[in-house]
Formats: sequence, structure tokens, C-alpha cells
Amino acid sequence: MDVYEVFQRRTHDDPLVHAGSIKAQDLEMALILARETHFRHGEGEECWVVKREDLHAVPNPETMGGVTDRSYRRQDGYVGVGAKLKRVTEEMKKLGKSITRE
Amino acid sequence: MSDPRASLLFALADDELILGHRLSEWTGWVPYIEEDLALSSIAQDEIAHARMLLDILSVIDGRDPDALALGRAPGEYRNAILCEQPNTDFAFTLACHWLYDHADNVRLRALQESSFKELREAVAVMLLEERYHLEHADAWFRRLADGPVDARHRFGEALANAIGMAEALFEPLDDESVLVSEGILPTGTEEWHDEWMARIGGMLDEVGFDQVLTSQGEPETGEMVPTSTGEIESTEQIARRVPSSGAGGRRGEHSEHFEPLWLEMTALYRAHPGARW
Repeated sequence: MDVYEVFQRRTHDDPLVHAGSIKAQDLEMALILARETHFRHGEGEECWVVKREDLHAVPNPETMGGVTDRSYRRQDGYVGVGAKLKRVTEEMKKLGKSITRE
Repeated sequence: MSDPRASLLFALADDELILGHRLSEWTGWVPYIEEDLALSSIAQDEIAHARMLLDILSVIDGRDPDALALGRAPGEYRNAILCEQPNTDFAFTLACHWLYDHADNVRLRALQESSFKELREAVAVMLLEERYHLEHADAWFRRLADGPVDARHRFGEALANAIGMAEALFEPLDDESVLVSEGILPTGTEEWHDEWMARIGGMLDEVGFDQVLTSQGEPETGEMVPTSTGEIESTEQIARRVPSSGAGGRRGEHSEHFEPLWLEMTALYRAHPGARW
């Protein structure tokens, strides 16, 4: 028998999340058995299965996201940008210059 | 004279109750966990359906549903004897499951048009769950029929042994003519039988199991059936017994397997009448 990974959506608007795994002879049996293995208590509105061997892992996951400092790529790298812009605008104003934003 | 609706409700409810009880005995013993959960859920569905039917019957009969389910003497149960057969081989259970669920589907579809409102409403709910039972039974039917040889052989033998008892699911009901004339039964048990037979006959034929329906005579010889594993099986290998008529359940005449089941199923109720969960 093959191993199938089972995914669920709690409601149709929710993202697909892993529910667990099952063993089954083939896809049709996997679809029949997944619902009674993982959905007996109203866990979700959608149940999806995929053969484990059809899932492919990205190689070298240890380098995912980079290994050097690239914090500027993160959202928190932009905290306080409005205040910085305001400060620089005022400094420029003292020098008789203005920043135009086209 | 008793209400003719009672004979129909006892037959339907007792089939579900007794089969559900038998299937529940598999819990923990099915060959693998996923199938164990599926079969156990089906057992629970059948018992829940029996409860819905006994709730309706309770209004007619006056006894409460627990008393109807567990407080009757063995001879008062009206299930077909197919439903009480012991769980010997998993192939036999799946054969009974397939034969039963097609029969149940035929009669429930017919009862969607019943003039008996409460029953019609219960049937609509039951059919939602029975659809899964049928998918499950058909999936196993195709896989076991497809081989390997040992699976095909055991499944074919199980079907041949169960077919006569399955036909008796359509044994006439008490007061059936009254039930039909009042529209409680839109069609009679004989028509249900014929529809079921046409349906399962077609499926048996497709997988080369047509000899299951040949209850008499010699096995057909010379026909070679290739299976999914490439093994070749002669249909001669399929042992065939002449099915017993299998009838009697609707009159309360059961096989020797009923009483041990009844003793276990009703033990708590008899020891502590009125006990609640």
C-alpha cells in the first residue's frame, strides 16, 4: 500500500493544512478512507489527498531565506520610515531645499 | 390488528441494528487501521439509522426506542438472517456489505416516495450516509474481484454463500398488500428484488462473477479470468454451494447465530433495564 498525505480546509475560505497521513491501495481507496480517518468529527469542509511520493521537497532547505543579514527585506525593516522622511524633510527645509515626491 | 407500518419499520430497523452490531464486532480487528475506522463508522451509521426508525416506530408501538432495540425476545426481531451471520472472513463481511448495501439502496430509494411522511424524511437523511456505504462496498467489490487469485477466490465464494440470504432481504412483509395500497410502499418487495438483482447481476457479470447467481448446477468450465496480478484463474476453482433459501427472518425465524448475538447485544439492558449512558 502507498502512503497518502491528507489535507483539509476547515471552511472553504481557509487555507489548505495538513491533516495527517493514511495508507491505501490506490487513489480511490485513499479518498474513501481519508474521510473516516481524519474527518469523523466535522474537522473540515474539504478533504484532499496526494500520494506522498508525489510531494517533492526543495533541496538544501538550510539555505532557504539566505544566510547573511538581509533584514531590509523584511517588513520590520521599514518600521519608522514615515518619521525618518519627516525628519529629513525638515532638515532640507532649513537648508532651503525641498523633497518632491512625484 | 397491529398497524401494518410496524412490520415495515421492524424489518428496516432490525436489519440496520443487527448488521450494525455485527460490523461493530470488527472494531480493532480489521486488517488495517484506516479500514477499521471506515467500517466502524459504517457500523455506527447503521445503528444510528436503526435508532431513527425505532423513534418513528416508538410512536406507533408505545414502547420506548431502547426497549424496542434491546428489550424484545429473539423471536420478535425481524431482520433478514444475512445481517446476523458471524464475521468469519473479512471477504465474507465485505460480500455481505456489498449485497446488503445495494439492497438497502434499492428499498430506500423506493421509500423516498412513500406516503408515510416521517419515514420519508428519515429515509432522506439515511440516504446521505448510505451513499458512502455504497461507494465503500463497490470499491472493495472491484478490488477483490480484480484479484490476486486468493482474494478473488475467497470473495467469489463468500458472494455465492451469501447471495441466497441476501435475496431474503426482500422476503414479503406482513400486510404488504395494505402497505402498497396505502402508498406506504410505493413499490413492493418483489419489484425491489428484481431491481436489485438486475443491478448486482450486471456488476457481477462485468467482473466475471456471473456464476455467483447460478445457484444450481455444475460450475461453468473452461473460462479463464485474468486478474490484476496476471495470474489466471479458472472459474472452476470457485466453490459454489447451493444457497439456502435464507428466508424466515421477516417472520422472526432466525439462524443459530442470532441468539449468541442477541445475548451479547442485550446483556447490559437485561442486567440493568433503563440504564443510561
